[in-house]
Amino acid sequence: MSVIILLMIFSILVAGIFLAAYLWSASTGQFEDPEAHAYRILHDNISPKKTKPQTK
Amino acid sequence: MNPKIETSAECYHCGSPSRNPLVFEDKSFCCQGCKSVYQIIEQNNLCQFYDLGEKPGNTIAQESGDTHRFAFLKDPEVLAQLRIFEDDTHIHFKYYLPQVHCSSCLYLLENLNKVHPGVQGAKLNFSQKELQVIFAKNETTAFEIALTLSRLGYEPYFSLSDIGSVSGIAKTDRSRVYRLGVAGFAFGNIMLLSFPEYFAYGTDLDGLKPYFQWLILVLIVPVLTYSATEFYKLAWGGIKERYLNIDLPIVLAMAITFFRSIYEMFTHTGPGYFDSLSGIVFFMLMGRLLQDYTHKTITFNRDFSSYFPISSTLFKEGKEESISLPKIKINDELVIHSKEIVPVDGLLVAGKALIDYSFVTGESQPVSLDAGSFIYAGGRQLGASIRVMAQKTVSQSYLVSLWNKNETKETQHSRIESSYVQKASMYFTMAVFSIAIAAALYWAFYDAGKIWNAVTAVLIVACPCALLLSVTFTHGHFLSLFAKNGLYAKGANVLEKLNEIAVVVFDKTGTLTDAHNPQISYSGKTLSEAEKDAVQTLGRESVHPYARKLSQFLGGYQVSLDALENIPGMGVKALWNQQEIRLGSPEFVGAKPFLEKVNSSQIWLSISGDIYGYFEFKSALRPHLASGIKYLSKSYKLALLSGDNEADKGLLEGIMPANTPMQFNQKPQDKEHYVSQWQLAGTPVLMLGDGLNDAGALMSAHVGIAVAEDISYFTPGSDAIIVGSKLAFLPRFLAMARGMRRVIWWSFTLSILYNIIGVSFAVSGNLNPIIAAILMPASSISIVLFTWLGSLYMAKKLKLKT
Repeated sequence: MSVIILLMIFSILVAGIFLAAYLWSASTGQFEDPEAHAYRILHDNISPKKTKPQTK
Repeated sequence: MNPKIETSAECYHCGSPSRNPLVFEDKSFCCQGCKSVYQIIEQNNLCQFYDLGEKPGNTIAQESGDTHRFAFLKDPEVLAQLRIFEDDTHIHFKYYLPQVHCSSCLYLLENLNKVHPGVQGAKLNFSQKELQVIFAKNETTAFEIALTLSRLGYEPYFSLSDIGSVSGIAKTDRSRVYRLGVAGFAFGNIMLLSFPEYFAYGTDLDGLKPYFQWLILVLIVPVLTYSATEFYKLAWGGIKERYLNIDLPIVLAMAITFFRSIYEMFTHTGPGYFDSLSGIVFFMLMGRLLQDYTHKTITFNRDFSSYFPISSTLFKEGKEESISLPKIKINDELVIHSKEIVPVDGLLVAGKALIDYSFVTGESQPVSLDAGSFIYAGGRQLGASIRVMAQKTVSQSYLVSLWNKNETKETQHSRIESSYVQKASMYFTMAVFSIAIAAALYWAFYDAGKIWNAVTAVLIVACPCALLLSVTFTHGHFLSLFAKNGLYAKGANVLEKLNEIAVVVFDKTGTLTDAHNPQISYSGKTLSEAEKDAVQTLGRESVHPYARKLSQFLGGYQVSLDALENIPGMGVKALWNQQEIRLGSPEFVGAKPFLEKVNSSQIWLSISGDIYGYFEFKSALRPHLASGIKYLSKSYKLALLSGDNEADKGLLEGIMPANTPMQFNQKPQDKEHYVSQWQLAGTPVLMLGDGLNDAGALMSAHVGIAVAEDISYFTPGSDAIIVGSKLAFLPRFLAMARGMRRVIWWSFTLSILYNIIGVSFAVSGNLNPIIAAILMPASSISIVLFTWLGSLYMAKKLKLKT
């Protein structure tokens, strides 16, 4: 039954990855402008990576 | 007349029609401005711009060439307050670009680095219309980028409120998003980890239970120490202010749940209620976030400073230099260029002023003033440049003092948040405590060992979070429904207060009548199509707002005019095919002898000295108002206040019910007085007005709604903004506000039902954790769903957009 412990740790780990992904996407401002992303994917050679929003 | 080849075409860049288009590379353009934007775009291989949208460009205003508008961007002190971030080599700068409207704009603006050397990257926030630009310090400046942007047709807009308030909001908003994520993570995992406790009782999993419980304990720590912190803050704020808000009982319930669960865990008497605890935090945060997002779409320019520019031009020793507004001192001489706002009360020293006071007084007619006259801050100069000597500083000027007077009231207003929610939560808390006490007394007689169990169980189950959920979610849904239909409320308590009003007071100009779309009629000689085109082109070049309305009204094509001249207070003239064409006052065209009565709402026209006739402007009522007002008069008392004379009385009597009180020639103070008298008599007033002249009245009213064509307008003192064309929907909005109250009561009932079920288990002293674990998410989710469906139903019933 101790395999359950292994599974448990693994499941928390997976959930943790999703939490990290969520926090990352929130911190890069992806929830702040829902429209722009939808437009941006239509453009060929745009690389918004160049600017990370900096709030300071 | 020379026969002309008529090649009418739509501009390739902006789509406006043009009869004599400029042709460049087989493409036609309406003006030089559009053509040069096309050239910039074409040279930089950004022609995808034109594939993404249908004629996506902004019409380029006649080559202005004046760079003093952005002169303040050269001032290092102002720059330091405006920039977002700066290091040794780069500056991050944000431009607000009101013209952004389509995906092509996004494409062009994010490729700014190709157009403007030195720009390293640009990112557009489409919903906020803000372009964040990173540029190399030694290669370009914020000033040059601003010029490039306006050359492309996206003129950046800066206002006084930009100074010193750099993106503080975005940061706090995000922290709530993080907290929600952490709470959701903990909630989901704790629920899964609790399953063995609930369903695997007596199996061989029993030996593993301590591990599960320790893990749960680890997961609950960030929920309590991080996610839930804002509830502690609000509850503590309530204690300090000595009033019972809904957060205090929630924090209390959370604390009891936590300590009882810890106790159960260490005494091995049960699994505790950690899943319910993390669940309520998660759902409550979700509700608050929903409210946040609805608020964010409803931006209020509540401050005079967002209407004022950042800087003005100081005239010193024969030279012009940029000065930021707070630095203006009394007796400074300022140059006000055409279309700029006079930032301080002052004396006109040189030049002829034609001041548009529409923001201050609501009067749509510009006032012409001669040297020596007093000019109030807030007026916009329409004529050529003038010089003004400051008589007061910005903060002491009339407009600002009016605003400041309002502000003290503002804070009082916002303190009283929806009172009945407060009341409901108070009754609820009292009921819960009496049940707990009753249960304690009962068990004291029968089985003293169960007192502790029963009391804590009651307090856990009957957490008022269901009430909070119903309120936050319903408010969030309704706020966004109202916004979709053109009524932008400052907060949900405004919608609440709409239920209490008894009197509806209207302002006339700009509220019932549409100041931006007057009715225009022409009397005189018939105009040919070509002449109409000439008149509309001339009107477009005029500084007078009526003349520009005229050209909108006439429509048609642009023609070329020479020797164009605006004469302040008189009119505008130009040469068209060697004929002088004049548009303006009767004196200006030489019509004085024919005139029966002088009427300022007429624009006269003459071509080659031949008087053609005049265009008359009449205020027009907004469409569909009559039925809306008739419907309103059934349930509310109506009244009308107007700053104008009685000229439109007949028009108004047509739509207002008989014996509606109508007051004319009302000054702002009179309006405020009128409204506060109703208020003092205990009759809550709904005031509808526009502009600053109604600010006092809007503020003293129970609910003040500003009527605006554009929600980014300056609307001090108002609780809400209604889009002018949606004014006829007012009865439906009021019905909708009643609907909101109903939805909240229904969901209250629903949550109380859940509570009764839970409490009936709790008082018996054996609240099974499974029941708590099922009841809590079930009640939360069903309430969230119910408020959503309820609000949709209400909107559907009233035939509003959903």
